[in-house]
Amino acid sequence: MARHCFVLLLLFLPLNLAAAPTRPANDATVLVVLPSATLPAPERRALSEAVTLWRAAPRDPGATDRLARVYLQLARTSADPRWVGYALATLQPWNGQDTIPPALRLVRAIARQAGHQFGEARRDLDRLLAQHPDYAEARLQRASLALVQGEPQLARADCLALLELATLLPGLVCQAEADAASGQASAALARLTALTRMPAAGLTPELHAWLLRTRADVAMRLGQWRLAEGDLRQLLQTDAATAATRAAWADWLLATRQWRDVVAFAARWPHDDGLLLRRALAEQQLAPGTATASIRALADRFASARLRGERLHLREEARFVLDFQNDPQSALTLALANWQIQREVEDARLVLRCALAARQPAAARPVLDWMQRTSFEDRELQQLARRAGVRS
Amino acid sequence: MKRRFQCERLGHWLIGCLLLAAVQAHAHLAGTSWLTLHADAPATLQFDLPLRDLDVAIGLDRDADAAITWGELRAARPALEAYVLARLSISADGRPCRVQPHDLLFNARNDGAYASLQAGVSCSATRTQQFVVTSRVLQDADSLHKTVVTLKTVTGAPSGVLAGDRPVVQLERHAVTPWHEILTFVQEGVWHIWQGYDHLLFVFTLLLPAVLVRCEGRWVPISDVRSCVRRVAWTITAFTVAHSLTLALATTGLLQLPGRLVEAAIAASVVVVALNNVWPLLTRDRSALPFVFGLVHGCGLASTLSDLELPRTSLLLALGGFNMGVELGQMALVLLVLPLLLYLRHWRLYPVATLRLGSLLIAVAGALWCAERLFNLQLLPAAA
Repeated sequence: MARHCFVLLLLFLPLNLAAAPTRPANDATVLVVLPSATLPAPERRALSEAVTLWRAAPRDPGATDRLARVYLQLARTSADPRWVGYALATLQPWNGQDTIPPALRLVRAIARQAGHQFGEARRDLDRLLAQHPDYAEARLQRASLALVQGEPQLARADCLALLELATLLPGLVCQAEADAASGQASAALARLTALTRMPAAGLTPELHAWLLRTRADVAMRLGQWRLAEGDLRQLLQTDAATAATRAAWADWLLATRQWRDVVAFAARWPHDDGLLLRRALAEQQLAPGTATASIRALADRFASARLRGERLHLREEARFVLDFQNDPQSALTLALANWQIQREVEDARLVLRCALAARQPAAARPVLDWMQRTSFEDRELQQLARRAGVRS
Repeated sequence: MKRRFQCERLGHWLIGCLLLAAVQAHAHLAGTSWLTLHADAPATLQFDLPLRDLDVAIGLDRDADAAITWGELRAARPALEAYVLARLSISADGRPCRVQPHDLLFNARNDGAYASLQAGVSCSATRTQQFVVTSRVLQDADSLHKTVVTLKTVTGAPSGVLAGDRPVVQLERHAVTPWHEILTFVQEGVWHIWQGYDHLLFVFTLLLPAVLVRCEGRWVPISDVRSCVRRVAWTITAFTVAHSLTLALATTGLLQLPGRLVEAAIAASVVVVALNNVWPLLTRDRSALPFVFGLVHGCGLASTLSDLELPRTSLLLALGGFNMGVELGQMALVLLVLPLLLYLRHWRLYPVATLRLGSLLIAVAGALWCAERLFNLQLLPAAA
């Protein structure tokens, strides 16, 4: 049923995307409410102040740094890549030149990574660390980049360097994360648990949130749902503004098959597009065929993205095609293309699921090789790999 | 240098870095603008620009209330046009075109709120084969911004995407074979005739009595189906030949009649054949009536093609294809209706109910259309 709806929707899509312009009758008609209106007052103030400062001096590194970081913060909370584009735009005067100040180069690397320009981000970080080997933030950023690209050994090297530089905690969490991705997940979980028992005085809120997220992530990969739940609930109380936190919670609800809660949770955050796919998945489980509104919204997004030649949404699109369009072959193509760009656990799972659904387990070989190389641990992933015929 | 970069920011940004890396939920669409270039006839373009990015680029929100009103957009129109013209260039077959904005509208697309810039594009080349579009619009506000450019022609809509690292796109008219071009116009013809209720009704009214014969002052169902079909074929052929003639004459400009009168005459033709079904006064020559009115209908059909302002070379192909499309559409109607009427002809009430009553109703409808068109009224609910 959903498939037929989708095919019908496809017929209407070209009509949907091209619309007829109008002339409003009234000057007072509101055409659009800007995103800053939905921000809490402190953030809105911070944004407008940063913008004003920057407009007065667009080439001042300090003003640029401040505004770019405000934009990147907004990108984190809203999962809206527009903010990343704005951040990169403020850095444009320094593009193609080597005179960019280190702080700005770091911000540029962060922004590029957020925009999935991983190659450029790595180049910036390599250059930065070559010139300033003690730049702790840059180390951490490069470690996280390595993890996104599925290279935990590289990440571990940067985490170890971080241990020597910074306060203990960030280095330890970084190291635990790298270990968890390279065959020592249980030990890493134990270490993270020990860290959570440290007196709270030593932890800034951001640090605490990072710790909880990491522990929840590792716990879920080891199948320890209760542990993950505790961390995620705590996170929701303190850090619900971050899109990644919300996504993690929705994923936990999906993993524990609490479909209604997924829908209810997604309904509380109507502007969070990242929850849309998860909501549609839950709706489909509750009653196949009821997810039409969500499916249509997602189909529109992906059609627009395809028109743009976008690669940002490959993971979501692959999942969408696999779970809603019942087209495992196309989903496999998308999942493999996504694998070339990013290699986190969800990306690996997708390739295996698509390969199995398309009855082409051989197509999942790159992922299986990667699993062997890194000894990556994840219960679902290992189950899928066994089904694909290879013990990992 | 050792501990220099360790500052209070470290804690604040450490998390930022890692969590940001985990932001994969990019389900929101990145900023996109949509440029549609209509290449046929006087070239025009429509450039849809997202309002929130325009606000970042040129500042739309005058009263800083985080909402853009129509009045604010209108006030920003000169700045907007200057901004766009400074960053957009179009050339046709290697020669630069001039973009002349003439209107600014609002477009609520399903992926956001857009300002819709309407402009004329005047290029020195005629019948351009290749357009080159360069645009840096909004890339200074959003590095990830992309512009989707579509070239709309009668025979297709090639498109390309402009981005920061690829600010130039080249669009070619589809290398179209004459066959493909003819096919396009055939489709136009079919579509047009199926939208022309008055034409269809005329043909339908001609068909109604075709399954009967006049015998001793009464209508009697025809016995020889083959001769019936032959008669219908002659009738339709006469109609076809006539409207092909005037279609050709009118499209090529050799025959020019005021549109309003033509439309009214077409409606009147429906009335006449309908009334003729009830009081058969003009049945002498079955072909005369369809032929005469076919001439009128042909003028009505010509308006579609003349709107396209095609150059001479394409015109013949267009004419041929369009006409063929019209014939096919008509034939479809006949093939649908005639068997049905043949089936119904033995029904006792056919002469009274379907033929007489039906024709009277059609005559009334035709008369109303005629009045509407002559006097510019709106009498019937569905505008005909």
